[in-house]
Amino acid sequence: MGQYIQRRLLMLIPLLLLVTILSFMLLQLTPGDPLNAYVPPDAPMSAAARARLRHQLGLDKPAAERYFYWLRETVQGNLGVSTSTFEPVRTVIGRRIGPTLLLMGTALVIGVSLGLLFGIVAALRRNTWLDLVLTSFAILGISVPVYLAGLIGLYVFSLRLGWFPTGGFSAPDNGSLADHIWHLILPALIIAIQYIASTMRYTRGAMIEAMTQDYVRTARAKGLRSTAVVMRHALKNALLPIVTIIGSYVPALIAGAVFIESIFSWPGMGQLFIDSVTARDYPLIMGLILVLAVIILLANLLTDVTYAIVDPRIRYE
Amino acid sequence: MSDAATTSAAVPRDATIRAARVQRPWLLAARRFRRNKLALAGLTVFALLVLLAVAAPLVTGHNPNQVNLRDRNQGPSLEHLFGTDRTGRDTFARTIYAGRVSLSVGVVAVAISLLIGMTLGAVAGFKGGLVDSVIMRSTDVMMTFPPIVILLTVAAITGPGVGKTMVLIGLLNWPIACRLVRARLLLIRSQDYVLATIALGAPDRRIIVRHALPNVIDVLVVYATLGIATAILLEAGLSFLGLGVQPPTPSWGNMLNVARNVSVLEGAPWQWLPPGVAIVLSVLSVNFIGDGLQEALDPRLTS
Repeated sequence: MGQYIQRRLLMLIPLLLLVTILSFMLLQLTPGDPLNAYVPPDAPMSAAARARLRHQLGLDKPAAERYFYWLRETVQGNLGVSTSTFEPVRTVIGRRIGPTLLLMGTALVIGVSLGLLFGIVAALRRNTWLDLVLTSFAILGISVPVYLAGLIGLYVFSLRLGWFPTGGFSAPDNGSLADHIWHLILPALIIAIQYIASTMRYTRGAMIEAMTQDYVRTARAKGLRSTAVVMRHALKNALLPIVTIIGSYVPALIAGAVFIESIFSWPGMGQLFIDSVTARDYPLIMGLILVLAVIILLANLLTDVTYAIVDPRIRYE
Repeated sequence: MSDAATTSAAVPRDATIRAARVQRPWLLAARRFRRNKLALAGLTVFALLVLLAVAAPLVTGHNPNQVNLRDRNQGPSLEHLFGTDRTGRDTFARTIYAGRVSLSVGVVAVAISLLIGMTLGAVAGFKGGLVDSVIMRSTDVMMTFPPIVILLTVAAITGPGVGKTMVLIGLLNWPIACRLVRARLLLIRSQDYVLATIALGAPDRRIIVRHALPNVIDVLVVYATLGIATAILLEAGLSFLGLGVQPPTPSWGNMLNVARNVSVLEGAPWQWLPPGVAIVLSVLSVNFIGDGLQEALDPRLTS
């Protein structure tokens, strides 16, 4: 297992290289002079001074050379300087990554736990009105895009009912834990809707299938209580593949964070990404793409490893 | 003479058998589809949305881009069914005209990704080897990243616009089609009847046209249907963030954009709720149609 993890970690390197090369190439296609990001074209500056600055910034070098320069610095932990705030990219991302991971993590936990609960209930009460309500909710949850859910949630729960704040990480004069949680619940819940829905659909199907298996009939036949049959025999087996499903949620969680952070003014990487894209802040875009790629690839690795741990039949050689 | 009579008698009989054989699976599928109430409801709602978009000038007398500063931010009334926006434009007219943009972005984007995905999938499935690995690894990389992140990055480079949005979404969604086609082709290539055709010396073209394509159509029909929903959602998301279709051209996404302003969100729900409902209705109906098609074309699923 340890060897397998090591090899998978090594395999991340070529993948990350590929991602950075592709995004670097993509950003080269931008029309216009990259120097304009540092000095506006209408700034009072002589042509000679412009040329000197261009040379200092290395913008007169060929793209490949600039990529290798970027790579060399990145490996040493220097992601460059943002062209919009002139802060080091590492500092900017470092400040924003915590809130995003908190938001995504909370959404994932809510989504998976409520999804499991609803899925089991729907499977056990199959073809009743409760099942119908939950299944319809799941279909709606999958079809309502996260940005619309965010707008409706903000409108109903924050503006009309006033249960939650309208956005932000905490109130300006209040940094208590309770205040943070109060600010976190609504955006996390809205991102979670999709995961509640898809986890529920998956769990319901898997549970219904597991309940027809021979070992469940055997467990029933030997007179076990039905909760024991459900929890210990059916659920345990139905849940195995769900680990892989959770791993596949991570890219969509990031997409959810992009929209929801923007709607709820959550100071995370999603909002930072939109800002960097609208400002065409290339060092920041490159840094964010790299960090997101690392998060996604590590999540994939974690998924495979967890799957191997919970299901001993899986062997990675 | 008698020889000619037997052949002329044999030909039509053979032709009818053939026609029956070609048609029946589709007829059966159509019958299964008609029995699916949700799919029919989806088809009805989607047809209605398309009809409203196409016949927009007949449905409403208002011009979607007509600014009327005297009637700004009006609530719903008989004159303005869904009220007016901050420049006095009729929200109902904008919503149904936006359907033209949003729905056609969906359809065109799917057509583009279908074309790319089918071609690359066929190449990967038939050629194998290095070409196959390169194509498959590219789909891996593309499917790892959340589409909206790639879309935002590229949109920042190309700049916004209807045409660009269509092409970008199309260029982004081909990996799924590619994988479906490749998987099907690999399956078909190992089937006995195809091996027999190859053994008989049939050219590649005949194998692709007569055996491979007809067997791929059903997955592609389902993919294309569900792909429209994905494309509509991506367009709306991109335009919601201000990087897709640009005002004054209305699209459901850029109409939602005004709701990022809290005073509009709170004070004028009629400005953002209609396009939101339109997005959900179109996505729901397309998903029901897609599920219905899937069950109709692959009856093994329902059993």
